[in-house]
Amino acid sequence: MRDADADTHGTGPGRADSARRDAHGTIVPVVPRIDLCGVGKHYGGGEAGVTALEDVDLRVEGSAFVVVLGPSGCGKTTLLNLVGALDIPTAGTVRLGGADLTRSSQRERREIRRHTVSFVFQSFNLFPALTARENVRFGADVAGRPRAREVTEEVLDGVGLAPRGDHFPHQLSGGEQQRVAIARALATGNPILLADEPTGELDFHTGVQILVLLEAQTAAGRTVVVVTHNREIARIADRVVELSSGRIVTDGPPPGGRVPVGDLRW
Amino acid sequence: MVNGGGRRGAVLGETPGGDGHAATPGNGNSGRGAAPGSGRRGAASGDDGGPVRGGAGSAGLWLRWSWRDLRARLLLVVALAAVIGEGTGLYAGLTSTSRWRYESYDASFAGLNVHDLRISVDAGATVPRGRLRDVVAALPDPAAVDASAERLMFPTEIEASRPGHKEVLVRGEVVGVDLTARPLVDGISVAAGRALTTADRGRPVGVLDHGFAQANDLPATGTVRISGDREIGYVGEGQSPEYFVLPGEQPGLITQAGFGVLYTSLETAQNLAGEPGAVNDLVLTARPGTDVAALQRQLTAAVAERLPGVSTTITNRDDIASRQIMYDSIESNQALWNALALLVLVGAMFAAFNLVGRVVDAQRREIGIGMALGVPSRMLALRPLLLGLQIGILGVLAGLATGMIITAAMGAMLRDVWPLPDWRTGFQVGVFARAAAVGLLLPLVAAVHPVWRAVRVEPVRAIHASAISGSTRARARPRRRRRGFPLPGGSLARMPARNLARAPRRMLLTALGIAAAITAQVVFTGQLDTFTRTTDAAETELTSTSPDRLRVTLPSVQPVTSPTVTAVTGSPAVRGSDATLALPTRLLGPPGSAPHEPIDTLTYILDVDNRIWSPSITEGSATGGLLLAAKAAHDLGVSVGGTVLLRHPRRAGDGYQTVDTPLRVAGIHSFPVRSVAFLDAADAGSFGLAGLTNVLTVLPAPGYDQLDAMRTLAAVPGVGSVVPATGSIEEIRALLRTFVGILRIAEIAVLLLALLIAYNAMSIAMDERRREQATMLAFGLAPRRVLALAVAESALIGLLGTVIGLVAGYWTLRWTVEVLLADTLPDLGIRAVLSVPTLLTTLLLGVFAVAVAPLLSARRVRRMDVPSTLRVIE
Repeated sequence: MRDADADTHGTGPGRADSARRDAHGTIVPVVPRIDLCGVGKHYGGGEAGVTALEDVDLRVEGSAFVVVLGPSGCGKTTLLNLVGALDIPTAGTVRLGGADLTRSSQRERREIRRHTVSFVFQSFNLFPALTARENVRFGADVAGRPRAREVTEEVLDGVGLAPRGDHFPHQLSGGEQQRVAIARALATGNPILLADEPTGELDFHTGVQILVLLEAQTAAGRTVVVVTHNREIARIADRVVELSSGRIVTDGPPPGGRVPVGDLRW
Repeated sequence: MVNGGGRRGAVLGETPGGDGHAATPGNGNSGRGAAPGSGRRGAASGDDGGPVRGGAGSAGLWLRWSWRDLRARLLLVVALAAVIGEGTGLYAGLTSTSRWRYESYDASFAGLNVHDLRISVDAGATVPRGRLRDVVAALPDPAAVDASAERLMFPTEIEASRPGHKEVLVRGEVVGVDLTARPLVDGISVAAGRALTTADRGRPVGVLDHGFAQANDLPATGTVRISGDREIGYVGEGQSPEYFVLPGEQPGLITQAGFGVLYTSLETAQNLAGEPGAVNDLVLTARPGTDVAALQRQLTAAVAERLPGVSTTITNRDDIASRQIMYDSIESNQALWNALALLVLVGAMFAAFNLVGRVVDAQRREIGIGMALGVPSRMLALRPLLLGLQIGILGVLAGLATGMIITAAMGAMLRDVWPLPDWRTGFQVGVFARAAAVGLLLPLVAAVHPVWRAVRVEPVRAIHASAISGSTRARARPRRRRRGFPLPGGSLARMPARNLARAPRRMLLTALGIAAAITAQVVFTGQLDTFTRTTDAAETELTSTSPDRLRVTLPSVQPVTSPTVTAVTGSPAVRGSDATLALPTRLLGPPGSAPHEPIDTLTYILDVDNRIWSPSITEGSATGGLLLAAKAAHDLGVSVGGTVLLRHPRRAGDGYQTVDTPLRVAGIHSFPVRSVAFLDAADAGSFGLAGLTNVLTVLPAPGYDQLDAMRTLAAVPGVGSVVPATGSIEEIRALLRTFVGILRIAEIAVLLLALLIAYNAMSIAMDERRREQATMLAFGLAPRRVLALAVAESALIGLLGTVIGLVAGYWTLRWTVEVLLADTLPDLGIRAVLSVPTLLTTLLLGVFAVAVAPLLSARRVRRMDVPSTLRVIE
C-alpha cells in the first residue's frame, strides 16, 4: 500500500479533498481515510429481507488501488455505494476522513460526493446529450473547480481523448466512453475514485487500457476502489478485499503478489 | 422512461413462469420442435410466420403484461387519456351545439305553430277586424289555409323600471293576438307566470317577452308602462316565434335587453292603441302539402282585390328576421367551431403522437430482447399496441366525461343567452361516436410508427439502446459526424439546450403539441379580444361627443315642423336637437360592376357639421358623398372616391318611390357596423327629402338626466321610441354574446389541455432522464439543481412551443376572424386583434406552465434511490 503522505486527514464532510503539493511542487490530492466498522446493510424486513452486507470492517488509508472481489450478489456494489455516500448502512459506521456518513445529513453526503469521491460506472452513464468534452467538464463544474476549462482539457488529454472531445457518447466506442467516464471522475479532482465493474462491458484489450488508466491514478495520489467479479483484475491491486455473502472473507495483497497490467489475461 | 430493470425484470421475470414459456421462442421451439434457426430468421426478417405459433396461446401473457404496464404507468396513461379526452370532448361539445340548435329551433318554431304567410298593413295604418280574414276566405282554395289569426301590433316605449333595480326604458312593441283563434298561429309559450286566456280579452294585462324579461332581470309578473303613460300588468313571461331573437335598431344587429315585447289580447291592444276594432296584421299556416309560394301569390292577388288602396306587405316564413338570424348562423358558426375543434384535436394529436410514441420507444430495448429471442414481430408489436389501446379506451372515457361536462356548460350557456321554449341539448350519439372513434384510433395510430421503427431495428442495436429513443437514429448511424454546436457556459448551463438538440424530432413534437394548444388558446382569447375591441371601438365612436344624447324615433317621416317634432325640440327636457333622416336603403355596389350581394343599410341623412354628434372619418372626407363603414366598402369592393349605387326612397308627390342613385363614396366612418351609412344633408338633394325627419338626436337639458329626458320625451304624443344613442353597443354585444359564452368555456378547456400536454411531456421527459438524474445526484449535484436543469429544459420547449403557438395563433385568428366570422357576422366589421395583455399572458402562461411541469416530479427526484436507480438501469 502506498502512503499518501496526507497532511489534512480528518476534514469534515464536504471539502475534504484539500490538495497539497509534494516535494516537486506537484499538486497531490489529500486522500481521506476510508473506515468501515461493523457495517451491515439489510434490505426489507422479515423473511423477505435480504442481507447485502454483514459486519464488514474495512480501513483504507492513503493512496491505493483496492479491488473488491466477489461473485454477483455478494454485496460489492452495496459496499461501493456506502463508501461513495450514496447509501447509509443499517448497522455499523462508515467514516470518510473525519466524517461519519452514518450520521451525516443528505446535504453533507452530497458534499462528500461533490468533493471527495467520484464514480465510474459499468455502463458509463455518460450524459448522451453532452459531448465528451462537456461530460468531462461536468465533473469539474459539479466539483466547483476553478479553471474548469483548463482542467477539462488537461484531463481529456490525459485519457488520450482530446481529439474526440467534440463527439457525443454514441459516436464513441465502449472503451472511449469508459475513458470519458474516468476523465469525468478525474475532472472532479476528488481523491477517491470508485469504479463499479469498469471493464464489465469492454473487451479484454479495451479493459486493459481502462485498468492502466485507473492504476495510474494511484500514482497521482488517489485511492481507487474497483469492484469486480474478475479475479484476474485483482492481480494488479495493492489490496484485494474478497466478499462472499456480504462478508469479507479475505483482505490483503493479491495472492502471488502484484503483477503489472500487461500480465493480465482473461 | 426507465429502461431498465422494471421492464427487463418483467421480461426475465415473466419468461420462466407460466405462459412465459410459450412466449419465448426458445420454449416455442423446443415445445414444438421447430428449428432454432427459424426463430432467429423470423425475428431478423420480421417474418411473422416464425415458429411461435404458440403466440396465440400466450395471449394471456401479453394481456397480463400489458395490464402490468398499465398499472405501472397508470398516472401517465390516465394523463395521456385526459389529453385525448380533452381534445375529443371539446370537439364533441362544440359540434353538439349545431345539432342542438337545429333540433331546438325546429321544435320551438313548430311547437308554436309558426306562420307560413303574413299580411302586414304598412305605415301604421289599420283595417277593421275581419277584413284580413275576408281576404283569406276569398282565396281560390280557402281550405289550403289551416289556420289564421288577425293581430294588431304597434311600436311603443316600454318602461319596466322598479325601485331598487336598474332602470329599464326601452323601445318595444305591443302585439295584440286573437285569443279566440284556434289553433293559434304564432302562439305564445309561457316560461313563467301564466298564459293569457280568453278571460283576459280587453283587460289591461299581458305577457312580457321572456328573453327581454330575463335580460333585464324582471320578475315573472309585474307591471310595465307603455307610451302614453299607460300602465299594464303582465301575468307571465312568454315567447313567440317572431321574437325568439329580438331585433336591434340597426339592420343585422340584435338585442337582448333593449327591446321589449308585450303580448296582449287583440282587444286590449286595440284599447291601448285607441283603435277599437282595428287590426293591421294577419298570420296564417298552410295545410300540410300546400305549395306555399303559390298560396302567397294567390294571397297577393286577393289582397289587391279585396283591400284596394291599402298598402300591405306579404311575407313568408323565410322572411321572419329572427328565424333568418337563428338558422343562418348555425352553419357558419359550425364552420368556426369545426376550425377551433380541429385545432384542439391537432393539439391532442401531436401530444398523443409524441407521448405515446415516447412510451413505446421506451420499450424498444425489451422489443430488441424479444427480437433476439426470436419472438415474431407481430407479437412484439402487440404489447405497445395494447398500451395504445388502453390509452385509447381511457381516452374515450375521458372524452365522454369531458364532452358531457362541456356540453352541459354549453347547454346552460345557450339556454341563458338564447332562451327558447324548447331547448334540446341532449346527448348527441353520432357526434360522440365520431369523437370516440378519433379518441380510440389516435393513440393506436400514434403507436404504430414507433412500433414499426422498433421492430425494424437490428436486435443487437435495440438491446444496446438506452432508454431514450432520441438517440436511436444517431445510433443507427454511429459514425455520423455530428458535433456539438458551440454553446456558452459550463456543462450544466449547456445541458438543457443539448438535451433538446439531441432529440429534435421529439422536441419538435412536444413543442408542436404545446404550440397547437397555445394556438387554440390564442384563437379563443384573441376572438374575445377582437370582440371587445370591436365593441370598444363602437363605444368610442358613439360617445366621442355628447355621450348622453338620445335618439328619438318617430313612427313615420315627418316635416321638421310637425307638431311631434316641435313638441320634442321644444320640450323643457331638451337642450339641443338635430333632425336626422334614417332611411332604409340598400347598397348595390359600384355601377356597372359584377353583381354584389346587396347590403341592407340604414342611411342617416344629417348635418355633419351639427354640434351634437357626427361620425368620425377614418378615410376621405365627411362631405361630398356617402360615408360607408369599412366593412361595407370592403364587401362592395369600393374605396373612397369610388361610386356605389344606393337604392333608396325618394319623394314623389305625396308618396315615395324607390330609386337607384349612384353616389360617390366620400369617406369611411369608424363605426364597425356595415349596415350604417351616413350622408350629409347637403349631399342628399336628389332624395327630395329636404325638410323631413324621422329621427331626432337630442341633448338632455340641464336638470334632466338621460332617463328623465327619455321618460319626458316618450310621453310626447307621436313619438315612437326614445333610446340612448349608445344603444347600438348593447346590440353589438348581444350579437357576440353566444360566441363569447362558448369561447369562454372552450378557453378553459384549451387551457387545461395545454397544461395536460405540458405535464405529460415533462413527466415522460423526467422519466427518461432518471438515469442521468441519478448520475448527477451520484456526483453530488443537489436535487434542486437537477430540477432546475429540467425546468430550464422545459422552459425552452415551452418558449419554443409558445412562440410557434403565438405566431400560428395570430394567423389562425386572422383567418377565423376575417374569413369565418365575416360569414358568421356579416354586418360587423371585425379586425383580428391580439391584445398585449393576452400576448403577454399567453407567453407567460405557456412558458411558465411548461417550465414548472417538472416540479411536479420534485418529490421523486428528491427521494430518488440513487443506487437502486443506477443499478436498476444497468
